[in-house]
Amino acid sequence: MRLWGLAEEDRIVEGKEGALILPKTSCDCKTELFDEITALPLAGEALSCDGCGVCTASCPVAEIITGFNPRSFIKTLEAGALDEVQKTAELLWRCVSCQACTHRCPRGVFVEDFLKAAVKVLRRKGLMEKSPAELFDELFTAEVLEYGKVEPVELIFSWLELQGYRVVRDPLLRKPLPFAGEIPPEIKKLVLKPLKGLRLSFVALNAVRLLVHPRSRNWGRVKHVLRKALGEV
Amino acid sequence: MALPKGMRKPPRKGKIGKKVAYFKGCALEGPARDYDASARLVAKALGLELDQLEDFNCCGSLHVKNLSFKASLLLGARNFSVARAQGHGALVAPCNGCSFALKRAERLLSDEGKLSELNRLLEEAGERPVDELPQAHHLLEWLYNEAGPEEVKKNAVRPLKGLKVACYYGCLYGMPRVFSGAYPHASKEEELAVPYGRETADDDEHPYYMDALLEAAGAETVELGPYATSCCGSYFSLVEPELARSMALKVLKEAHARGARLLAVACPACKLSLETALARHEDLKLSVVYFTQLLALAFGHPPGSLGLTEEAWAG
Repeated sequence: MRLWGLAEEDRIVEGKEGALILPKTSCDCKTELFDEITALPLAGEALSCDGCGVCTASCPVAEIITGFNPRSFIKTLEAGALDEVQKTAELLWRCVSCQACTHRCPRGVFVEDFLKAAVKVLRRKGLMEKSPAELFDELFTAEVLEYGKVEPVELIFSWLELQGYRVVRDPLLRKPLPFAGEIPPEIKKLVLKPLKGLRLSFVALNAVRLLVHPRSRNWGRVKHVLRKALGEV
Repeated sequence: MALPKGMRKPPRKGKIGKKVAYFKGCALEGPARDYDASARLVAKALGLELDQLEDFNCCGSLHVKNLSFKASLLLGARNFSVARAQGHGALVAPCNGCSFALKRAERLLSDEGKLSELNRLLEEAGERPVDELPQAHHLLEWLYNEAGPEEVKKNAVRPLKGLKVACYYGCLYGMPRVFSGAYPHASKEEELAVPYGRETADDDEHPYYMDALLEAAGAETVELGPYATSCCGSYFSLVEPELARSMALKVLKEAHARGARLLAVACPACKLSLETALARHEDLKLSVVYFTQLLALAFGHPPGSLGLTEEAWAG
């Protein structure tokens, strides 16, 4: 048999000749799972993934966590073998959204958006548990939905509380008191840093913000529309 | 790696405008007040004007988009509506998260039919529809293009002599190119043949705007290599501290190994993550500061007024 005009023996790869690489053919049997993911906004570009692996090579999380591999995630979800998908589901949420993969993809795949879309579908199908990252996204979004703006100190403390740290709040306004309670030392240090330099104006202004949560104008009506949008992917 | 001097592009004056809408963002209203104060001082000294958006809403950062595509665009559209109501064609955000979210909204709303769809939602919410999409930029891009190293040099009455600074840009400053418009500046071909390229955007893999400004202010910049744009972990310093710490430490260790005393950043979330990691590694003897604090220092403002403690910059 001759392939591309080459005799069988010529196809044996020798290092100095360079490798003869057969064209990759994606599996035609795209799974229902993959269809569902790629139907979400920006995730559809993943259909043109060549599997080159630039995403994985660029990924800072892949450098640290063994098994975290955006290319393999795309291909695994495409093939849809359940045990492999399960492994993917355990790792997927650790994507930090740095966008390096999307930035460098030669095929214009929105890799990060694909991974987040995959999280959504896997969660919907009950193939993945709620992750800390999703919990944080929800906490953040809830604050935006309520006020239109986020108060970072309030957000950090609400998060720590959710994680089981003991946060002390004043009894009247239920605002966190950064100098009390049991919170991770590095975070305490950061929050209390302005006090060390005696930057009183900064401290005072921040204290006022903690008391009165910043809010955008007309937010009551916007909130209503935003809540509806949040329900629609 | 910052692009070598010979390959850098001169500032594109007049492309963004001397007076822009200032999208302060939630962090600068709160804990990152020192970034806000110094950014205003720097803009004023350079003859530029930041017109604050009084009634902005949260950009949504990464979190809202992770939950809902439509909601993230609605947040962007409302901000554009506020900027247009104040008569602006350009928005400037000092935070990587905000500039990413705004640039993303700008790009996605420019798709056919998207803006009118979101305008319908804005009207339903009792907001003014967006007549024309404003352009979103990072504060650093604006300062480089509208003032540039020459203006900085002219204003540097107290040059930062002998200060070794590592410029850390962070991931979302220029990534992904499809939203930021970053393109290779060193390429010999017609530069904007790059899809989505934007003239005022920094180099896609070798950003240098911060290096150029701080060098003009008299500082000695230290090469961070690929770590200048590698992710610091950002909000994962709360969500998955171990992972974020490993990521931040790569940047910090590189800066330390190259002899930097200061790490200049252009984003409050980067500062949070890097400082959280530093709190456990005090042997690294680094301080994280905003690049605008250093510029304002060079322009003669006392460190105290910038929120800089003695230990942060004097070393």
